[in-house]
Amino acid sequence: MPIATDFEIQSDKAIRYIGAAHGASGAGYYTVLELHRWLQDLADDQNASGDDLLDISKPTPSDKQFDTIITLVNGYNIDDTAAEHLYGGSIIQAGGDVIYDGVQVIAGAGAHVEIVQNGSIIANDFWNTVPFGSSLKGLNPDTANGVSHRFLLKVRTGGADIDGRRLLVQTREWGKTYSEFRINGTSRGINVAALIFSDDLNNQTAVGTVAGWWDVTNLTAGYNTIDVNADSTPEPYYSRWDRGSRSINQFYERMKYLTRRGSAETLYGLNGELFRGITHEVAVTTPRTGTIAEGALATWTGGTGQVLARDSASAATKLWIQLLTGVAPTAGQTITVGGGTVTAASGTPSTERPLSFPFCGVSTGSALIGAYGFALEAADLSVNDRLFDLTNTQRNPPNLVTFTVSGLVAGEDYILVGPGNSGALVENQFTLNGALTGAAVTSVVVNEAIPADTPASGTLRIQRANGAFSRHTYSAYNAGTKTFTIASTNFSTNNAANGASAYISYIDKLADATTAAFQSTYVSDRELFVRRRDGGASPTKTFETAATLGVAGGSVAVQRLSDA
Amino acid sequence: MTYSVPVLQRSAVQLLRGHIRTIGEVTKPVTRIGTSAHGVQRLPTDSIGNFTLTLTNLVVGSAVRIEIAGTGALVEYRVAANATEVFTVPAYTPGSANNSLRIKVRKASAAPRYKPYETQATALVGAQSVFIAQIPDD
Repeated sequence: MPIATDFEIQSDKAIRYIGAAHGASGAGYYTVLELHRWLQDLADDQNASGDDLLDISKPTPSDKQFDTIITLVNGYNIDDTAAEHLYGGSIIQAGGDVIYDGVQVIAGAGAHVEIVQNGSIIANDFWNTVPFGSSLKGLNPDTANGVSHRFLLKVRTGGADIDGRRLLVQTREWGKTYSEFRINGTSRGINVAALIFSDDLNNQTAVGTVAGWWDVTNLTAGYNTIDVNADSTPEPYYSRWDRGSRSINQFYERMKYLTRRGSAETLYGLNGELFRGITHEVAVTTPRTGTIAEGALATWTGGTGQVLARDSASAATKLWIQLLTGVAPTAGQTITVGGGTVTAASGTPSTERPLSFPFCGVSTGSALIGAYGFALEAADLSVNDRLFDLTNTQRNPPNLVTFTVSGLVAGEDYILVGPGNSGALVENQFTLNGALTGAAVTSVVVNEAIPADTPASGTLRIQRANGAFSRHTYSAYNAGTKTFTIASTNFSTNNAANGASAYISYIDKLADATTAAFQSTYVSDRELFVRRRDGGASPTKTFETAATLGVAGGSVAVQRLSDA
Repeated sequence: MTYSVPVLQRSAVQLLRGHIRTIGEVTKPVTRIGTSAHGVQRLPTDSIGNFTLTLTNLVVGSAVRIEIAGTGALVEYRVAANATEVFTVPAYTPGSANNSLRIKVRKASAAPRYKPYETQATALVGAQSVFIAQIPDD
């Protein structure tokens, strides 16, 4: 359809689209250069004709700087509807008070593209129309060159730029990769936004199924510390998710669900569709007033943001925010968050932080490479997960391995798993540093270093004066002081002498199921000694064997030979 | 009563008082000196002669429109058949707004295309040449 059919020039110099609507047969789309050419073609006519009131007697309607930058002059103008049918450059009018800039999206064909402008998603996403005769979304594609969309967007009106002409172009389609591209102020002409839009092989569960995974919850939405790498020094994060009964990849899918297009979920006070994670770390200082809330809107001259975490409510030295509009705080600016204020520190207070798409990080299918500051609780992590704390330091969870003894009869078999060496139980794994003689002993200090693969809690066998090894539950241990914290025990009789032997009994109980197991942080292969006995009503011969706790854990299936 | 006029027609010179001669649809004062005479006084809107305007360096095929600058009223329009086009347009009493001419030259319907060119000239009884510098718009 020629442009003359789809556009008209009214007597008041209004250039208006009069063609078919988006998606309908005959809907027309033209480059800004074609518009200029058509206007100029009319402008050299002797007399106007039809509905195009423009000829040589009228003032010049347009000027071209480049093929992609057209200025409408002498009062000629388009409206928003007309702009939706143009692409390939910019239209400037009203003396520069109104500007439509060109946007060109590089993405897989059919991508659904959202645009965030001035903190909100543009509701009229006409560019996602399925053109008549096509089956894929995207106006004015150039498939051969990987272009999925080409259109114009108003970035300046009434003489003022809309949020500094900043645009966030994103795609968040279920089953597809999430991606975003930031345009920090459009330029005249064509502004390119590149998105990754392809199948996400780690997001293949039906959306309706993932919608029901409510056992995935954020235990802490804000600043908190977690000892992810089990080094006794917790690290700071802005979340602490519980993946419930879901695998790590199912957890990843749930995170995509919360932030997909059309999400009605709220994260840190923001609609999930707008949530991106921490974009900036801001150093703050005095003067301060009131308290700073997390999940609240922060405002300062020249911008706004959402506070995702702060290191203190009343004496914050750092804020972690998602920038919503404008630019990040600069030195000395007052930042207002609800009823509190803080002051941006001197120098360059704002540090831009890396984003991940989706906001939780990347799934490998069996592990999570976490986004900056994002965390699950330590118990939900495996050795292959990678987290980055709020100092942007990578933290690797320990390799928690499990040793399992199977083939047990509950209520009959007593199982003992202890340290082994050449097939024998090592009873002198430790020696006591100081005799145990008190009536309520709770601390056992040993001379030897407590191995790093020692379970955080468990049982300890201590040699008493009569030579027997008594069993004691320990709830914690301090590797630095070589001290086990045990349940209060009376050692006033049958003492444990200084230098007496002791060892960790990794499993030390009457079987209450057909299997018994313990979990440990793998450091290096450990030889274990396994003993099973049943001298009860249906006695069996003692079963003993050596076993190995390796990088993948270990297991033993006991034998039960009758001793009747 | 004697009226001084720039043009005087005589068949005989005769001075008469208060006689008004009507010429055509216009009533004009006349002067009669001697036996009889005809005098025609021009209105400010009457041309006093011709202005020969030569436009040079035109791109052949350009639309050329000459109009009164103040009103936009058409004076002459043509499509340039040559690089030099000569226009003969009326000139008016010096100071008349009708002497202020706008010259528009446009060629954008087919390649090579040019940006609209516009200039002005002041008509006078005589001739003037204007160099047209059209800028390509391709």
